[in-house]
Amino acid sequence: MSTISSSHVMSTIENALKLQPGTLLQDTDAQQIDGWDSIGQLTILVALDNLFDGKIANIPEIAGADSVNKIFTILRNQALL
Amino acid sequence: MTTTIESEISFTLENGKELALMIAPGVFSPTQTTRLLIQAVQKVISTHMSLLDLGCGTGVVGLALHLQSLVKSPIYASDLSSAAVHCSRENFSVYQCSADVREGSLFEPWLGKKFDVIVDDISGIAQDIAVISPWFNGIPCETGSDGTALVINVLRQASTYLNDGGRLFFPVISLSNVSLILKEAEKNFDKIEMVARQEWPMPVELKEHMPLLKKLESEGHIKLKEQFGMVLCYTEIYCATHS
Repeated sequence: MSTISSSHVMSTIENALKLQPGTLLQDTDAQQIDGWDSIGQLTILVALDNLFDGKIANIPEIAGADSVNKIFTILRNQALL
Repeated sequence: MTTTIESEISFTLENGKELALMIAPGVFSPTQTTRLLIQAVQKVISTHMSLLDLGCGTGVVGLALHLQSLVKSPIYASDLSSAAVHCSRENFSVYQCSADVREGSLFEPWLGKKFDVIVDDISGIAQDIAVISPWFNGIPCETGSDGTALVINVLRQASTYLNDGGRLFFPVISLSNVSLILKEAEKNFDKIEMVARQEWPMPVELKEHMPLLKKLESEGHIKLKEQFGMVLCYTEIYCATHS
């Protein structure tokens, strides 16, 4: 079972996008956040890959996860959360 | 000659300042590479220096550095496109930045001049990719099948136009033959340093042409990497010092 918490994932995404803590909510999507563009998406995924010891790089569907909810859903489906 | 200024674009600097830039058809719009180039120069340069903005487009690189008080007046800038020269002059004027903007290919307008810093933002991707990319929109890109033709020309000539200790900043994009460009840089400069790097997802417009991209990759013209379900490219900014 993963030892990484949902809040840790949330803060990792916020750090990747250089956002203040608490900016993101479960229903936040990319369109609502300045800087969550294609490069922002890649920055998030690299940060999550570091957090999960390289287990994110080979999840193709995560490329299109353009909201907090979608990212969490994929992580849960992969049993990473 | 009269050039029609058709639109205005906004370009946000690293410090959050928004630049409003006039742009016309045939003028290259600033990209993420432009932004990375500006950031890299800002990181390395700390004093007033004479600057040549080579392939100036809208003049955004020179303007951004002027606004950071990093360059001496006037700024020197040139572009092959007369429309770009016109736009640059307009943009420099709006921001009250003294500039000598000339039209011509590469260093042609600058015979006999020397600069402390040359920033090269000319086309640097394989021309077959430029044609299908979202960045060029009909702007000529005669860079050859591996994207190196123009940048290699710049690397071969730049030392002639640099003061002692002067620096050339140039981007290298993985949609060109990176190793060939770096070999040429090593031939022409004693010191070359990578000062910025950014990976970025390939835009949808290019992903639609994967057979062509794979062919160019197999011929050694470009490099592609697949990760996170994306095709990734990278831009690196190098600083070459003329001793």
